Amino acid sequence: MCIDVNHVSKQYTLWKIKGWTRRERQVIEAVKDVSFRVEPGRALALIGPNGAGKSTLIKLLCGILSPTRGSIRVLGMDPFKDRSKLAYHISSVFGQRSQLWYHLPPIDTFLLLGRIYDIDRVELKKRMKELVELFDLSSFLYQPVRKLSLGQRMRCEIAAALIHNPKILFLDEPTIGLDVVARSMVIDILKDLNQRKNVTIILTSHDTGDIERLCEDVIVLNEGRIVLESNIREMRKNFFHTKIIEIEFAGQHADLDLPPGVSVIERSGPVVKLEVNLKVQDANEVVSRIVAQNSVRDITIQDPPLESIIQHIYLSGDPAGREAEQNAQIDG
Amino acid sequence: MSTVGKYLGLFLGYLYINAKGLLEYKVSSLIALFGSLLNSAIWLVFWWVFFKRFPNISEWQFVHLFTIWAVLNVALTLVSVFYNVYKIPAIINEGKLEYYLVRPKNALFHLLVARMQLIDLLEAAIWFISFIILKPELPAILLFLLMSVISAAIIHGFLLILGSLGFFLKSADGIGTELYNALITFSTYPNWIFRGAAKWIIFTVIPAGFISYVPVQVIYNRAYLWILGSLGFGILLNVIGCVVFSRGLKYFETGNTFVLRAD
Repeated sequence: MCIDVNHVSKQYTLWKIKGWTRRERQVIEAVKDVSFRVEPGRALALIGPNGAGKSTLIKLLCGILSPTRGSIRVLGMDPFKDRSKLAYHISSVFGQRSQLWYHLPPIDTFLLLGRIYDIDRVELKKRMKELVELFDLSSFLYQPVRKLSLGQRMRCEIAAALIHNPKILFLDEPTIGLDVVARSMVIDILKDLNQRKNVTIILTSHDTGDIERLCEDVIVLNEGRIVLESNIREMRKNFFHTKIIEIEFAGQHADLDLPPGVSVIERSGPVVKLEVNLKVQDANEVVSRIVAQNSVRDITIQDPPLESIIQHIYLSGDPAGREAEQNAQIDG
Repeated sequence: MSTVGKYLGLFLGYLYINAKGLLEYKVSSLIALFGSLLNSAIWLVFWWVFFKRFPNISEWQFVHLFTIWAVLNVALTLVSVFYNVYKIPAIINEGKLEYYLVRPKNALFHLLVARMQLIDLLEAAIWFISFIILKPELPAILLFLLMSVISAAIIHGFLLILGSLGFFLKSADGIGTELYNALITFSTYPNWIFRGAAKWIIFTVIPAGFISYVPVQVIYNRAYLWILGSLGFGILLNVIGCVVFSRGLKYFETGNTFVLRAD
């Protein structure tokens, strides 16, 4: 087992000042009784709204924080007690923090990291060569970091995190602030690392596109608790109670005669978007009915975006998890 | 490679990268150095004028004042090699400590060597040469060097304790700055002005006496026993600092400030 988290809770103590002399102790539980396991080579997304406990959980897994209750094993080690030993085998990229020396070229940080991780010169050279090729860094390897674009900087960040060949890579919002092209490149490289080099990836991101492209498994956290633990494909299946049908009509169309469970969600010239509640109506039947009654140029059936599922889970909190479980049981 | 070798390698790695960083900003670094030297020069001119008028006050002469100032400045510049010791509360409160915690090296050692104010070593050299010109005697020069290193250890230990309190007190930054300023202020005045309780304070809570009074006693009066006292006190402060830091790590709750390199 790569990661084994057993009934872990993390509490923070806050002191509320009341008046001049009094203060009140307030305990905030950032992570509440969380348990899960991750097999080697998997890519797991930790998602949840702000303050859900994702970053705290990553910090617990890295050994930065110690759990208030429960136990964590990462690669067979206790992250907090064996932090220094574990550090040789894991790495982390915090999108909001940089480990690169801002005024110096990335190559200098790579060389420094070689010393931090006790990598001998020959091995370090070989490793840097691999990473420079993989992340296509050669054109800006000798430019000060302050002159790099955010995308270039993030590629360097991830390359720096991989210099010691870690078995697990923790990524906390690695694509924050990146444009579409840079984001896509970063995710492609991470996917390649996960699939070809078997690097276990634990990702937190608010971008559902990143999650869908990179991860197989997902844990949804809300208010410190796991509200859903699932395979992404399973999650889609269990939570899709609707389909989106986009129709482009050939000419003018009269008001659509829609059956129960179907509603218009967008109208733009000859293009109409419908949402079909699958509990009430079958999507294929709706399509047949519309095609029979109208002249249609194009028609597409889509799943709602993952984002809307996640939004639904966030808003409904615990019941979402239970709903998913119930659906999974029904499907099973 | 042995553990000592690995840590020495880390120190040299940071020495190299900090030296490269310094070269990126040599002009601004040199301006800061010039400003610091100018400040010292003004202070020395004031005391030179003072002693011209009153050449000997309670056995203290201008040469003693110059020595105090030189020892203090060399000590401070040596502490600048571990520049992050000044920044520990900010590193804790802004969550920058995480950078060091996820590395395989001892977090405190790593943090301390990560940022070096190397330009200050040039200032140390200037003060050292000035002292040699003032008192060109080998024993005095060697004692000056020894007392500067011990004073640096005392200042470092003092700052380490104050900084590590940042784990427990959110206001440690402000308190630490005030106490540090008090240490520097007390260290730059001739010690005859401190008597009674004040004298106790400068040898305990604010150990300025070890940085000013003791070096003068050792260099000019050959009071060698004081060397052991100062050395012991310096080691004690650093040990306490390390203990407070490691205890504090258990209380560490991280911050989420949006920052660039965690140095």
